[in-house]
Amino acid sequence: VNKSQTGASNPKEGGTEKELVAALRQGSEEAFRQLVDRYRDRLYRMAHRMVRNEDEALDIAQETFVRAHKSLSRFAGRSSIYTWLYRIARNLALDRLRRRNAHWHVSLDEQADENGSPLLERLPGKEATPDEAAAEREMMEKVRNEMDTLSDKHRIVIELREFENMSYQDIADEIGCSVGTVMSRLHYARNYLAERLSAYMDTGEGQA
Amino acid sequence: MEKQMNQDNGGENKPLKDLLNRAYGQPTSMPDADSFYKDVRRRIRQQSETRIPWWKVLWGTPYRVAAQLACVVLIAMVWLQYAPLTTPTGIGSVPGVAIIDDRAEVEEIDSESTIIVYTLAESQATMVFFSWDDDVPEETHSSSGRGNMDYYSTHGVFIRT
Repeated sequence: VNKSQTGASNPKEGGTEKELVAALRQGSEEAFRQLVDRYRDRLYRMAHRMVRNEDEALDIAQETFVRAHKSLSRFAGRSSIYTWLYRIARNLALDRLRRRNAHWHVSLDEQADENGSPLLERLPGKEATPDEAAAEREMMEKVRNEMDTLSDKHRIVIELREFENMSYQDIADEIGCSVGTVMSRLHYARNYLAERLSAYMDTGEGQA
Repeated sequence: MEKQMNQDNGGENKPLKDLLNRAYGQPTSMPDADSFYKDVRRRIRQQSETRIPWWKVLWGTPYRVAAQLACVVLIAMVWLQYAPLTTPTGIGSVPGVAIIDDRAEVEEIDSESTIIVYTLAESQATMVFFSWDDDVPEETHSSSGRGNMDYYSTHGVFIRT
């Protein structure tokens, strides 16, 4: 299906979000391709941060676009397109984590072979002592838990800034708000996290 | 200068940034643009081919209970409409009384045919018309004329006055 088949007008490469959304609503294949190219990597990395598995992250990122394609007609434009995609991807990842927790759980401390060696010590590239590994694991869990307690609007800005290294202006454009709002949300989120994670930040070794 | 000010306003915090990046890490490889897009298109195609029929969607949603209830009501209505009628008994043996709607079963009639106890089959909650036959000889009646009455209950007593 292309422009001539659908009668949809294609958006300009690098055009505004409004133009992209308008073209998407008209069923433009080219616009959909642009949407995928624009957000693919960011959604993939976001999903990976949540599920920590590349295959699953890829699956989630692809499914996000499939769901988006299916419900484009219902996209009201109240939020930015990235915020919309972000929420779809996050929900998919959360579903995945829930299913994983419900059906499959392997503790790294479990005895993984006949000699009684814990799985954690046998992971390739792992040279940390069990104590260090446990502290690292605790730190990771704590960071993730605290991130999860942030609201979506705060989590999105901190992810875009700290993981994607985007400028304030780009973040503002992406989520459809002012630079001032981005800074204010970032300020709040950073203070919130710093307060709760200060022990880990000070030592850098997870000694709470 | 302005950028620096913005960063200060946002409360840039390098130790926090490092901590977050250490906790979450990054994937070792990124998806290939073309194969990623092809996979997305393939999934869209597959999902549209295996679209669930509307009645299955309805059955699997919160409307399910309402839909099931509607089916049950529909089946009951059709059954009531076409179910075979209960054969009335005792009509022929009751002198001076005819039941116009014969779906009522006469259980008891007193010797002077003034009191009728009737029962309707459970599923036939409908109106019943009783009437005294005009052809019945006058002497068997304590009153004259025709008496008609509607009943909506399944059991009742009709007293002729």
